[in-house]
Amino acid sequence: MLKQKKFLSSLQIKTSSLPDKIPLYVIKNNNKVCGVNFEAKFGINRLEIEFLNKGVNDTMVNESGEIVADLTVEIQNLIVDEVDLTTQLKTNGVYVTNDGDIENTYGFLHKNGKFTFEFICPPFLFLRNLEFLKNKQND
Amino acid sequence: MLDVLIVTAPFTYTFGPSLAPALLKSCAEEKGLTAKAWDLSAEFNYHYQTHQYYDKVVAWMTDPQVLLTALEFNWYSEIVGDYADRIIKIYNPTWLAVSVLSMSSQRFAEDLCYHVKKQSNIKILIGGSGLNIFQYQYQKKWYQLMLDSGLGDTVIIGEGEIELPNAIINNVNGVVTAPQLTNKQLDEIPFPNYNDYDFNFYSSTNNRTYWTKEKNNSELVFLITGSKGCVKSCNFCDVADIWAKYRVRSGQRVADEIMYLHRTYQINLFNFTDSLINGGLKPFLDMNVILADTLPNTIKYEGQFICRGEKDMPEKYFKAMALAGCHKVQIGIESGSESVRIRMGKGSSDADLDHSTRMLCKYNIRQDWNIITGYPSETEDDHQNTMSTIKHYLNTSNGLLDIIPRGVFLLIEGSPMMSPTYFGEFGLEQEIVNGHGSFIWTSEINPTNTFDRRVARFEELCDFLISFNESQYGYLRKMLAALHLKLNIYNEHVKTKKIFKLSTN
Repeated sequence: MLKQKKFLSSLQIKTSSLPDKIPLYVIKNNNKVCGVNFEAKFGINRLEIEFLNKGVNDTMVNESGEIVADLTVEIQNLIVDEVDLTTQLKTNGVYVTNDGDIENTYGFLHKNGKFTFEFICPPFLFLRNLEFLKNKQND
Repeated sequence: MLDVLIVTAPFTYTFGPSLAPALLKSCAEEKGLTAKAWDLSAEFNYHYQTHQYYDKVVAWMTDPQVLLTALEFNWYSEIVGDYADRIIKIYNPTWLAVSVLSMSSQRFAEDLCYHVKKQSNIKILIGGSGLNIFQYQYQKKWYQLMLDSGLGDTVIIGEGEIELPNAIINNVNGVVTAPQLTNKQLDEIPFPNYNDYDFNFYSSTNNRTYWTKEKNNSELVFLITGSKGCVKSCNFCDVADIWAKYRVRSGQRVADEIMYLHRTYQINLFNFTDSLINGGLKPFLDMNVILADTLPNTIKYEGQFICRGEKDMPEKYFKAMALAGCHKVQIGIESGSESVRIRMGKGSSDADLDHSTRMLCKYNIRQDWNIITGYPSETEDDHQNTMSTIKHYLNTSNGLLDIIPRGVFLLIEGSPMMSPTYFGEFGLEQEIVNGHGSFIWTSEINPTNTFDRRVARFEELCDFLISFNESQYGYLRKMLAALHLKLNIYNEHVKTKKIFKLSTN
């Protein structure tokens, strides 16, 4: 059994509901269901937020076509061990809808599907190494 | 089971076999622990210096502004992973002690500790003079970041000779602040034990050693510590932050160690780790006299040196140095301007400089002068003084003088210059760019001394040296290229500031 540091982490999630329906979502870290406050493990973590109950009629529009009510889930921030990983989560996280489309919505989930973000703990090492991933297109 | 494995973290220059692991091994074994020493940094240089990615990865380790490609980073990561595997599978120690010599060792240390911690319960102890550097992004010192992140269990701030075995025996976690060893304790420390070292790492052609020009490639250079700390209090230097008080071993003990290493490992070349080999004049003279009497015309040594006047250091000292085998000294002249040297706290007058230079030449002892351009009070006249001093002595020293341009003046964490007193005295304003605050600063008392001016002065010095002797100083072009990268960052920063100022006005 490895004795490794655990990293206190917290997600902030904003939801948008309909008068008669609230969005259902599940958060998992490393395949274990967790709440918005969770413990990340030393090494690679896989954080998933899955939006479950959006129906075809859950986006309400007015006569002009403007959205007046919607069922959505928005990931607002992620703090791991007091280090803010929000920008990295929004730009590097992958949102795959149940239709199989990959959407770049920066943490805004408007269709059923799964948002996945992989990060490394300690987070300062993750931030340092992320630079190299950005350079990948130059190789 | 092995109690402790002591390793060095790249990047460090392969100077010769690293002293810290060999010395700490002796200290641990003296307390009944089992210990092994591995100069991992030298092994890294030895195995990979000819690889296509090596130079770039080393540049990344030493300069935070350098970015790697994913290919380069993957190459580096695999190497770190392999070293971690060897530590876990071959050595499997209870403790891993990582020696972090400077900022250049931090990245490797971070990754090595990560890989080791990811796969094992080996406890990690970190020490060395590279621990104290402040990390602006995280508002804490580097060692605290390592502890808080779970990458290290124990940190020794200060000297580890006594505290490393204590920490292991008592299973100490957290920060250990080691009191400075006394002169008596320094004399009681055992001699280093290099038996675990593979000397092939040092004896082959290695372009990362400082002694290649003068030494045969099969010869090893061993490190010797005669003193710790410094008798001077130069305000740009962080030595006093590491060793507040100057302590010195007896001349007899240092001579004994040199003779022991010479006998045990058939070594003839030695390099002192001291900030100043002539900080304590009596022990320095004693050592030279003993070596000259006991081991005449056998060994050669080098070390850092301060220019002293004729009254403090009359000719007999230089004669004894030559007879003992002093081959070369490195002198922190820093500036050819006496007034700049006085403001630095260096205290060497023009007369001291002249006396030392002439005496060293007379006794055929080579000398390197370290030069820094752009000290906060340095004016254009001061800079021209430096240029004329260098030109004068280069032409009158029989080829025994080398100029080593160290770079532009940096604000070093832990140096007195970073204290409110000096910030106030010089009206310093420091700017943090990309998390680093050492090179972009201005001084209210000397506002024309901006980063681009400092670079221009440094360039003038390098250009002169290259034209003076292309084969000897051609290497400076690489330094200039690296400095120009920083200059680009500076120009971008200035431009952004101007745009920001315009937009807010």
